[in-house]
Amino acid sequence: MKKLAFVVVGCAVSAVIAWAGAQRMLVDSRVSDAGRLVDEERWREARLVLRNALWWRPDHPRGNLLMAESLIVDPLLSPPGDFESDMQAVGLALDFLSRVPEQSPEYAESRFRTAFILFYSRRAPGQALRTLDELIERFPDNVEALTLRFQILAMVGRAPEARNDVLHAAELVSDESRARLLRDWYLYEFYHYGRSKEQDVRLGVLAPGEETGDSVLPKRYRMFRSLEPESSLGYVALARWFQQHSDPETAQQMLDEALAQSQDAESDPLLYAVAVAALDDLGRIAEAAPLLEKWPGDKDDFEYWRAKAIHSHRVDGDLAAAEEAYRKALERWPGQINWGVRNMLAACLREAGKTDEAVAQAERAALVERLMHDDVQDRVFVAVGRLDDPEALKVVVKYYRDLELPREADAWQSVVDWLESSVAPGTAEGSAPSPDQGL
Amino acid sequence: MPPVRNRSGLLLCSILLWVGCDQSKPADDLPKENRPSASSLRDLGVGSGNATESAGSPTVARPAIIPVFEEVAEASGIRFQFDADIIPKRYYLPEIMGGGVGWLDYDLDGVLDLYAADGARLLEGQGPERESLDRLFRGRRVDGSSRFDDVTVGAAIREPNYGQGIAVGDYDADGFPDLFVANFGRNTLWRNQGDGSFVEVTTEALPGSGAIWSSSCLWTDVDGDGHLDLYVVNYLDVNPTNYRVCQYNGRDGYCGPGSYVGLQDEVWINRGDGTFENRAIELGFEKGNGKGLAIVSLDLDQDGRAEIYVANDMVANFLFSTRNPFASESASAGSDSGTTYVELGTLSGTAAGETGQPEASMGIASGDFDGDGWPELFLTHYHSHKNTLYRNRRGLLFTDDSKVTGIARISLPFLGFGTVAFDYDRDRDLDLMVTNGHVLGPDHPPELMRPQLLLNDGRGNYSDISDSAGSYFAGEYLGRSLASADYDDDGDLDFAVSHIHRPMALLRNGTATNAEGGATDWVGFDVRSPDRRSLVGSRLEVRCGSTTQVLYVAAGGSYLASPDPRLLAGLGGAPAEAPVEVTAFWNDGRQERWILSARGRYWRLEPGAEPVDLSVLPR
Repeated sequence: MKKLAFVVVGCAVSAVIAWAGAQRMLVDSRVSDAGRLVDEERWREARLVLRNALWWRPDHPRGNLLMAESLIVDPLLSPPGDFESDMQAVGLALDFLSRVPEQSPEYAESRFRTAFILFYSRRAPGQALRTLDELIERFPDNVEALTLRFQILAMVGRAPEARNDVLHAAELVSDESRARLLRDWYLYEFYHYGRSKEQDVRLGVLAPGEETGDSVLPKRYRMFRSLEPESSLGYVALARWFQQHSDPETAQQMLDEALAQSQDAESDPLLYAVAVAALDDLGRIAEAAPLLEKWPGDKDDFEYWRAKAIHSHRVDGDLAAAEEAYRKALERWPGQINWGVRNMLAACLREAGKTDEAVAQAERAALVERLMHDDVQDRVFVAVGRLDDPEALKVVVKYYRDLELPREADAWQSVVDWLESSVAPGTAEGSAPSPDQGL
Repeated sequence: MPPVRNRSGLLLCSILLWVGCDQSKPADDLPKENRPSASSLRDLGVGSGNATESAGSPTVARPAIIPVFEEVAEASGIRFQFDADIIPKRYYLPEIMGGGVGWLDYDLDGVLDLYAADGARLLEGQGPERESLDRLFRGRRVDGSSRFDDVTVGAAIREPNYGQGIAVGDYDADGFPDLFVANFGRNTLWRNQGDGSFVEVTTEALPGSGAIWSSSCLWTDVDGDGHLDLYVVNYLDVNPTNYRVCQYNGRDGYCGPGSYVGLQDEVWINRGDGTFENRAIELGFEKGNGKGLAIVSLDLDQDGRAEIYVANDMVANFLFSTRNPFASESASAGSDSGTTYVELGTLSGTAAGETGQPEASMGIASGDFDGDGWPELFLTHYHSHKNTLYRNRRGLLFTDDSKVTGIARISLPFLGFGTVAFDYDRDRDLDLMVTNGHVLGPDHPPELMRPQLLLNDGRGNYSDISDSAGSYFAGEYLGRSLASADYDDDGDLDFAVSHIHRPMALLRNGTATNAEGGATDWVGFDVRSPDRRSLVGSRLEVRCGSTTQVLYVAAGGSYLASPDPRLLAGLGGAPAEAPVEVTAFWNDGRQERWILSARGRYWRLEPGAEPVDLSVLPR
């Protein structure tokens, strides 16, 4: 009897295992079928198939990815303008994406898509950035994640924080992709409205065909603040916009709102930077000392050193400390292109009696300012539109060399080198700006 | 719960539940130690009273002394409105810039008179046919009140050009003040014949003087030869063939200075024979792209030689000096050139704002704002851009202290033009008056703006007390030129204000500063040279009690204006018995000191002579 029992159990187990194996293969097959249906945009049918497959294997990586995709892109589930339905679909999609196992090869893809959906569908840049931060920490060479983080930071007024992401990604991608990425970096920094228009339409900030301009920024930031009130990003971006538009009182109100409403405002260094700038505008820079003391993070970026320099200069009257702080600010992006801070260093040097150095800094500031003029930018803008023309791109290389930004210059140079070493695609029509013309 | 990897595996045991999982954690779920502790900037320590020094609040509920300015133009007999020749939708830039006003005593009767520049038809064939002429209003006393009569015809002044700046100066040293009128078009020089009339002498006196857009101007001894020279600031090259209409937010408006080329200033050196020679380039004033709107000359570094400061519109301002304190030791020889000027705007820190950004620079006020004895410069700028206060750090070094003094925050909503520093409350520090008004046209609000009266807290920090200054300050205007004068000789400054679209205003200062009606808390000075040379570059140190004020003999200032050249010192708060000690530092190097026997009056001070109490002189 015992022997019979063992045989029966053994057969049953074997049968289960065999059946399980067969089921696994069947699920994989169904997921493949679903993938084909998704490619054919037969969303509902795909979901039916996936539902069945995922019932058997809820953690199927590709299955969950496909289910999420079908939920997001199906216009029946996310009708244009129907925000509520859209959010329901988004919630479901995020749930499916969360089920992709960490150990699976698709995990990085799932986290990327999560961040993508959080930003573009839920308009929650804070959550999206946190997701990307975790992803990039684990997969530092994930180009998609680096690029998306750059785009999101640019859309919340923090493009300078993305410089390392952009330049690192540029090292990882193909030469052709590098050119497009570098172009985006240039455009987001110097032609923000033009470059971000597509994103603003996608986010619903602009209607298709609507003109973009400076007024799009507060509209965008208000949207982020409204849809993700627990994140400081919208508030601080809005505060900064008001401060930069000569309204420091309203900037302070926004910052107070951020601290009252959001969870992460107190640990947001940019909040402190905007607060100090607003105090300076209000003639109350002397009140900035506690902010400098409590400044979160490593206190080693452009914004911190700029604030520190102004406080040392105007409040403490410590010209030596101010000079050191100004110099540190100028060494950290975007200090290299901030001619205003460089002129403030020049003023500090003048007061310290270092006239020759002051003159040198003022001259450098004037040069950098000159490089920001429309006539110069127009030529670079034209050049970055000709990514297959090495002669045109040499203008861009020179531009960054004149700005003393070797990382960007070298990255663009690598594109030029690749183009010149490739088979010539044919002569570009029209005349590209010549680097010899000078900028 | 461990991840469910295989439905099949659990089929033997359980059924998996599909449960959504929210990515975010509600704040309530955060552990207590992770919850934010600050709910406002105040919680972060901002505004906790740890500031050792900060600017005054933007407004004060009520200043200690209520300013009283009564608009009395029409009641005084002044009926004048600048004919700007604005044609809707044309947007020809000169039509929005206004005209100047100047004070002078042309007939030497001891009562100030007023000259008002008028506009004209700017473009042939556009606009109604009319002739607009500058006006001269003669001041007189009637039963203790001041009245003005239009004596333009009797004075034989027929000035039909589009008027801009005015400079009053006795260039021929005959004792009678002459007039120079800067125009959009041909400038004119009017010699006072001493009989109540003027004669135009432009052609013979200023050979080669062209017809371009001149703005502000002043008389001073540029080359130090004792003769009065003329500095003419030129603005933009705008003419019917090159003017454009610009768009702002999709609507038409006036193109600004960035759309046009700047013009070289003129420096007419007096030959002493009634004629002048333009030696701007030879004397170091060649700066090709100046777009000047205002000018002032005073001794900024207390070396006895006046500097010349030109405010340029959206390009670097000019500071011209005969001395270059920034020259390196090896180049120091020759850094004091005597009569040749060097431009030190950038080195001195007065070319632009603190970030190096050139500013709009319409008007200039000057004086010792912080009480340290050294003169500051205050410039009016564009809407949403701060006005600028350059604090004097000595040695021709200045710092942009606009923010820390409160000037920045109270000027952002305005676009400033004329400005004057004066002690409205006689508390021995300099307050500020500013006229405001936009320049883009009616399709770009805010167009009309209220003027401002800014109170000095004694340390060079400013608050806006316009709300307490009376009905004129509550109104909104296109304010342009602002010329100060104590036209009623009561020891406080009054103002003539030229507007666009509105008659000229005459603001009589009736501020009461003490129980005696202000009779003893001021002293005034009429500074002259017996040989009628310029004393610009001199200064007076006025000590009463424990406070010393420094008054600078200056030329120019404000916008398109020529002020009453007399100096006033408020003595409020000084002990009644304290003597008034005056030390004059003349621009020829001499120093003299006197103790005045009385307050509440004007004293004539001349180098080498005892002060003369003007209150006892017959008119």
